[in-house]
Amino acid sequence: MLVYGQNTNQMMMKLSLAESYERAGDLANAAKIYEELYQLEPKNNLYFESLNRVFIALKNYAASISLIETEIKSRPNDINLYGLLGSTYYLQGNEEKAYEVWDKPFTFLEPNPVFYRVIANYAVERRAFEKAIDVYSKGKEIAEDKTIFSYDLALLYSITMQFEKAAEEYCFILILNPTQLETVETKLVATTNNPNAIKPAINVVEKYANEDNISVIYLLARLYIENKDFEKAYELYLELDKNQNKQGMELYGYADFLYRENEYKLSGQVYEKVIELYPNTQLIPSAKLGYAKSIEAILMEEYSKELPVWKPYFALEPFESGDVDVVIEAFTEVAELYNHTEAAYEALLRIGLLKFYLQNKQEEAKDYFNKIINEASLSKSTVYAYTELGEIALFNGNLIEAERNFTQITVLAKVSVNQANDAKYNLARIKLYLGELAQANELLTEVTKDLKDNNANDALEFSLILNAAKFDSASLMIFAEGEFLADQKKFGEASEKYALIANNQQAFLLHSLASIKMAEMELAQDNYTQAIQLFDAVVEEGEKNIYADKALYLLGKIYQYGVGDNTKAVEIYEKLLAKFPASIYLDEARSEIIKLREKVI
Amino acid sequence: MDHNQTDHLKAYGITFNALVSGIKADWLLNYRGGSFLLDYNDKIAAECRLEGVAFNEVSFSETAEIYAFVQSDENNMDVIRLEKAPKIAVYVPPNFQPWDDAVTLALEYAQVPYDKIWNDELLRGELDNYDWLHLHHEDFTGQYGKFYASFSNAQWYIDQQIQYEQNAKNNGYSKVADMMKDVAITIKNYVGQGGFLFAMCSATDSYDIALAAHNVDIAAQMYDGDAADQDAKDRLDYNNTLAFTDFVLEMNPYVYEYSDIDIQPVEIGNFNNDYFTLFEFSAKYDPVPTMLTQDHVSVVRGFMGQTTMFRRNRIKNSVIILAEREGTDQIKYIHGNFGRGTFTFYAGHDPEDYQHAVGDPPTDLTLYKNSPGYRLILNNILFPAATKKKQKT
Repeated sequence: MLVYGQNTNQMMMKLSLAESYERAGDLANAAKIYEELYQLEPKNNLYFESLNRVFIALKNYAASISLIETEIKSRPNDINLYGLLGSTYYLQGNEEKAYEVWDKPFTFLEPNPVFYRVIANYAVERRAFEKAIDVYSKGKEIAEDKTIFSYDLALLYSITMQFEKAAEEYCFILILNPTQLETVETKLVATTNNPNAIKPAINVVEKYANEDNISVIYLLARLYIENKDFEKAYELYLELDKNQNKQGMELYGYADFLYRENEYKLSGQVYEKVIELYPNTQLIPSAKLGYAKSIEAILMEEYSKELPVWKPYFALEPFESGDVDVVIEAFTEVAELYNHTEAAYEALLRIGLLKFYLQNKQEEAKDYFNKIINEASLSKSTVYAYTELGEIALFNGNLIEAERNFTQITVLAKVSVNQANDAKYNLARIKLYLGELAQANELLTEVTKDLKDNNANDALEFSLILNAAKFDSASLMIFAEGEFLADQKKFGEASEKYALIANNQQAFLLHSLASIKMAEMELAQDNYTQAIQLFDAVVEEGEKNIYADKALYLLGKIYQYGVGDNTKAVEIYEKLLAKFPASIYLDEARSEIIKLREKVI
Repeated sequence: MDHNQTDHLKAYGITFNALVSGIKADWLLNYRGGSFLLDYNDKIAAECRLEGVAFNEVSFSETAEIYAFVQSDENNMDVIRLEKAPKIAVYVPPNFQPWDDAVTLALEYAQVPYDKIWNDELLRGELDNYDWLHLHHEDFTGQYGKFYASFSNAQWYIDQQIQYEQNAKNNGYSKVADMMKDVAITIKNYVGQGGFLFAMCSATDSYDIALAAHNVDIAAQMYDGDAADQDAKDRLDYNNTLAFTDFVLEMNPYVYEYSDIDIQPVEIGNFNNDYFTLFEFSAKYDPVPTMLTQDHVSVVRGFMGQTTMFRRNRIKNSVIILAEREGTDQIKYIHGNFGRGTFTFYAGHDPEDYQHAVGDPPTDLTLYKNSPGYRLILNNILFPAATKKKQKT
């Protein structure tokens, strides 16, 4: 026992030494010691594996082969040895022999799925993917649980970009075991990051998607979504909802997804379908709100296209569309369903906005805004209701009413700094119209305290006008009258007021501003010829008029959108670039030139 | 092109495209930060305005004065005639890359046309069709950027390895590393025959390492399937490299570094003090390095990359140092000749993103129109357009 102990001790020390040599990169010395140990104890697997590992690191493939073959003689049924031997041949560059060795154990060992996995793993380790696929495929044939082989095969097919075959394996898994849907979906969708993967995958999954394979239909719907084929996915969710008696759950979830993706048209259709097919489901209130928001979004897209937003001022014309009433009706239904909730007040606000801006029904709009104010002073819609009431009052020339509404905003409990500053800026304008210049200045000073606020720039510009014109209060008041009329959309009358200042060369800043405002009023009335003449006159003033660059920019806009002369528009924009290289309109002019060039040339 | 220039980067694009359309240009080295002088025509003027590039119109007499001033012996300035726009190739894999290439960004922004080429085109000999070749964040050693430790499970890494392996197989190579060695040698031959090579980030040192390792396997088992040669470090052939010598390889496959050519982040110290200085060369006697260092500032903010800066004692004596971090052995920008061509190596990844990480969004150059770091890149695309002058010495 004592002698044996000493020997074991010595061998352990030698093993430690060999491992140290190996770690230090002295592989030759490590090999010598491992070999010595292996000779002393050939049945010790640790010595065998260490020696083979060092042979491989030394690229001494012949020695590795000889070693493993010796080992196979004593352990002919050890599947790992064939894996190792094949690996060495593969490293040696002898692919054919490697494959032969890897195949050999299957010719005489009892069929066992584990053996196939072992050999396939060696092939994968050597990145011999096609061979690995071959071995896994054979293993799958004899295995009782084929799912695990299919996962391995699907992964290898994806890696080797055989996307159709990968999808076949995933479908195979789902048909066998539908509960695997989540895993399969995650894995398959991950491969669709490759733009070449999605269509082949869809082609395959379509083949297997039928009523017997619900999980495959779910998978297909997900692939359609990944491919942005929302209509096809809708058809599938419709079918899934019906066949599984989900009472609209699937459809509602899909509609929400579409709304988040800004696919308003389809989201509206899907919400509507839920309402139509499942009128008694608990989802109805949510579906109705979703439907109203979807059709409102579509309506606003249409309305935005109609607005001449390229003009600084334009008249509010009723939007001639039957859809406005449809949207109002949808929101009315939501307001009734959700009575006295935040959603109801939001619906009321939206109805008010539609009434005011799209239908020009101010009195009706006011009723909705007042309802919000009277019923819910803490609602987040209340600030907007006061703002709109203020705007309506301004539009109608009722300064006292406008002042009252904007002042209310500044004392509300739930108001953001930005909203309060917005109200103060509007109050400053009202004070100017009332001739209370000191108060106007005080309000503007408050707004400009926070230069990060969105209103700060406008407030600074406004302050500049007030201060520059304070010694010419007569002109300033005429200018204020013009501004007040412009707020009321009385562009013709405003133009007359601005003309009084524009003709006064002594009123330096107000003269410049009034000249361009006069042109803008003509533009608002679609008097393009007159507007062009007035803008031209401003441009001709050159450096004397600080708005000359803006005039040139708006001239370009008139030619582009009003007159439809793109060549002339490009010419004007290029003139702007040449004459005013520091203008704030440069970037916009540049992008318009680039946009128009293709149309012109 | 001093501080009055509103968009330095697009000025290069305007000049390049003028050359493409057959207009000659003069590069006034060191004059107002290195300026371009072109014959006036309305189209160019309109383009400058459209692109936001500031320019001055000068009369004949003023032009004559400028020439006289620039060519005066008292001023370290000179005039270089730009004749023909070089044909540009950018070496880049065809699919998605999880990082951006500063040169491609600069070329796109300045609207300089270029072609993308990769191993297939290169090994087919198509490099001969180009005057200028750019390499960016490439690994010519076949070790996939040595990202194994951090990213071996990332989908992009797996896809990239497969893509390279298939590409190698299609080109008749059993190992990616072997193909990359041939790619490196092909590029070297291209330079030797008169090509202009510009490399950034890890394409600089990994390229030279691949040349040095032309007869030895330096890639560990996880990169090419078999172990690296035991004596790899001793068998490097420094005579075969362009810029670097006597470097020691980092053989640990888990360490994200190729060799000691690159400095380590810890050597930078306080990142706020990371600036590099451009050397001032004699414009009349050393026009090439002068062209490559034209800038409106002489001290430029540093930036990191897989290869951040070169260690001075690993650079061959024949190589010209264009920019360094003063008071250190850290070199940012180098240039040299090989055969009939030249090479320029610029360390770091993105001059306007100090620490560009894998997956970061690309830099928006509209926010960096006057970037001195990006300007150095664009010097390189115009320098091959210069007419060769007789040396004054």
